[in-house]
Amino acid sequence: MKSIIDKAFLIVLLLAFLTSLYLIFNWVPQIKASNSAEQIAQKIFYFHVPSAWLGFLACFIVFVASVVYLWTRKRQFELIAVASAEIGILFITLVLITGPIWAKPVWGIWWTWDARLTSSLILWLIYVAFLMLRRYLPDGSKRANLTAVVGIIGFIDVPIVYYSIRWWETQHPKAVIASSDGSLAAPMFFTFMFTLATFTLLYVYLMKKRYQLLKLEDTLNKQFKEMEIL
Amino acid sequence: MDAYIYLFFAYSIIWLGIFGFMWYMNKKANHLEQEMTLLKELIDAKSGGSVDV
Repeated sequence: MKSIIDKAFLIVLLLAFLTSLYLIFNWVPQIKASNSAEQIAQKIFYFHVPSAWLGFLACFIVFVASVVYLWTRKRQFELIAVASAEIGILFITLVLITGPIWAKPVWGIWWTWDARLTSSLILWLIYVAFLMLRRYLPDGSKRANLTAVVGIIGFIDVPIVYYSIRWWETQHPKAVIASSDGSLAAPMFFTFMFTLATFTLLYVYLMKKRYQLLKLEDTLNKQFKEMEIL
Repeated sequence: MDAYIYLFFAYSIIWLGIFGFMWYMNKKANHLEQEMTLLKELIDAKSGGSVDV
């Protein structure tokens, strides 16, 4: 029964991604831009921004799970934080790669040290540090406490990344979704929201799978340790 | 034409990332399955019978 639900979820996810691709490449109209390169590169936006959203969501879950872990000391929250941090790193990495790929044909450069790009890179480094701590420190409450603290402090960078385009003059485009002038046309907005929902479903799927594996790994490690003692 | 290459490149990277992570999880699941079999064998050997883990 469980595997049927898993398979159904995966099929829904695949269909949602195929629909997203159809909407992006066949349905949504081209933007009015000064050159065709900018028009074509704009299609990257539909996957770049949801990837950033997933990165933020994953960091938020790391933050919440870390707070709850420090509060309750329950191992499951440590594992939730780790699973979410891994997924967060994946999507922040995708943001950091797809951003420059968009920037090259539009700005003419791959990278610039502006506030949005730099703070995003720092966010990626914080969560890499989170996983490095977990990987290299010996298993125990000290490791769990330290990673939880990094998970909480690291989240401070998320609002900095989000508001950087408002707080500082940056080369990065201004917000078009949450802006007061609502400059995104209806078909673009619909396509964007659909892709955002698809990415959120993907997060739920990956998170569930990764958490189950971490839990199983944890149980096996405990069993092997008990066997060694016996 | 160049812009299409950038577009292709961006979407390829995204799919590579997503499917790469799924492949990594699958590999990890297979490894854990092997460990579970090993653990079962160890427990069986110690107890001298069949035990479910």
